[in-house]
Amino acid sequence: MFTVRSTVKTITAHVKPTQQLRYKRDKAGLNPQLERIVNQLSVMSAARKQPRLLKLCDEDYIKHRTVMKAWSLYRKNKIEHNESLLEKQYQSMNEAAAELQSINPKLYEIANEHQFGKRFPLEIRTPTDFPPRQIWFYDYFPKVDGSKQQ
Amino acid sequence: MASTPVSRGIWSNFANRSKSLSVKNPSLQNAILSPNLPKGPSTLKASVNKLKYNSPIGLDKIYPLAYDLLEKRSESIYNEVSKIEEKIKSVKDQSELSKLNKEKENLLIKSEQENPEVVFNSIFQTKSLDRSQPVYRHYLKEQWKSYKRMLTMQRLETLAIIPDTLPTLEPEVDVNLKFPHNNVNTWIEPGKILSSNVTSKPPAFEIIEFKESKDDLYTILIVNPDTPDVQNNTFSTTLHWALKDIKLSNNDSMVDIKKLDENKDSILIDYLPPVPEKNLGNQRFAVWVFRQDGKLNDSITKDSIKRTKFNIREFVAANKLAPIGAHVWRSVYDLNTDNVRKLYGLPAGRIFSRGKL
Repeated sequence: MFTVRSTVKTITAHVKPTQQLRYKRDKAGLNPQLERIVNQLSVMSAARKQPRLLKLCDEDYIKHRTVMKAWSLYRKNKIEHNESLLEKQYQSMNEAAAELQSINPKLYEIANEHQFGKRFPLEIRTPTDFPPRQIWFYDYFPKVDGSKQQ
Repeated sequence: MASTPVSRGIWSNFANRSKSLSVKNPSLQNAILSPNLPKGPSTLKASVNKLKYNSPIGLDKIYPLAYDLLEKRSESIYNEVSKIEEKIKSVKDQSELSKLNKEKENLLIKSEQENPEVVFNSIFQTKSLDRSQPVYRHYLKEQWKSYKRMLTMQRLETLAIIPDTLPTLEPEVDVNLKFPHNNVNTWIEPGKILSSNVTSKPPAFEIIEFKESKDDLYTILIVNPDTPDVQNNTFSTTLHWALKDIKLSNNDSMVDIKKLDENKDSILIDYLPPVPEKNLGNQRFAVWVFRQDGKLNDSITKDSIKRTKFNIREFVAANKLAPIGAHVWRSVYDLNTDNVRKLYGLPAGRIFSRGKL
């Protein structure tokens, strides 16, 4: 359950009270400054706590719409471009495989042979668009076969 | 840092484009075509609001870029349109031609759909749109589909106009209806119960087409399926008004007294005002709009059609009419009904009682 009290407590856990109180454990509750903020917030209605609705005049609303449309169009074009690249890549892979089949069927068969027992290595890095910040783990040791962790 | 001005490309060129694709008010147009608001927010009325208004931060920087991107796209679409226009000149096959025309219209919509001036007009100036432009028709259709079409269909179905008069309707046009009982321009909401004073004079229609139409011919019928037929212990349909061969275009969509006065042949049957009987409850008055595929047969005259026990299904089938829109209102006996009867020289009304006659 999130209450105003609990949220304020977690947010301001690091804030120390400006006024030191004797004989009072600070774990017991909020300090008086925070207590005041909580009281003020609890008196305010939920609508007042919402961020204000952006009020645009008609001209600016049209401009805003135009910008949003252009942005969505830009992103759509980018995605379509990437997809077409992937499509081309796949096509050329297919063509290469077909060519190999026509040149040397035996090599094609070997290339497409099912490799039993060969699993996808779980330790492989997830393929990403860009290289990682740390290129190589020099201290890496592969897991030993038959170890408890496997 | 000053922001770059908005480009003046194809959307500012009116050599081949209609002038109606721009904003009429010069100060508003200037505001839309500038990165910021040079004369402040002119659509805000109160000077207090004008003074305290601030445009969103950064909008003036990004807006010219967005405008440029959309305008360039529009330019490429216009190039495609000109290619299709060349093709249309050479093609003679009718089906191929209609396909190309459809394609051209879609491209014309796409090219202007994001033009800020067009968007401004179609959001804030809906009453004075040039409906000969495909893009405005598109926006109007979207608006109609989002509410009015659903409302009309709901009223037609719950009041059982469908299937009591015609089996079904696939609405294609927006039918608006008003009565000239006062000088206030009030369009009637479908299904409203109107007083006999309001309906004592013939209504005016506005029929808004969303496809391109030039001098298309229309038929309008008003029928009442709730006329009591005491002999057979049932109800029959009465024809209250019939108009035929009404010529309408995209920008000439009103059917009012002025138009009917100019071509009197279009009135097939004169207007009979609703005069519901006492104690008979609400009576439905269905307005049906049909598109004709040519002039109506000359054999259909005032004398060949009977007002009472009118079979609307037979009439529609015989004349090859395509129902494209409908409207409905309801009338009930009130204190003024007898006056309306006197005005039109109608016989005195009957008073129905609870028991069977």
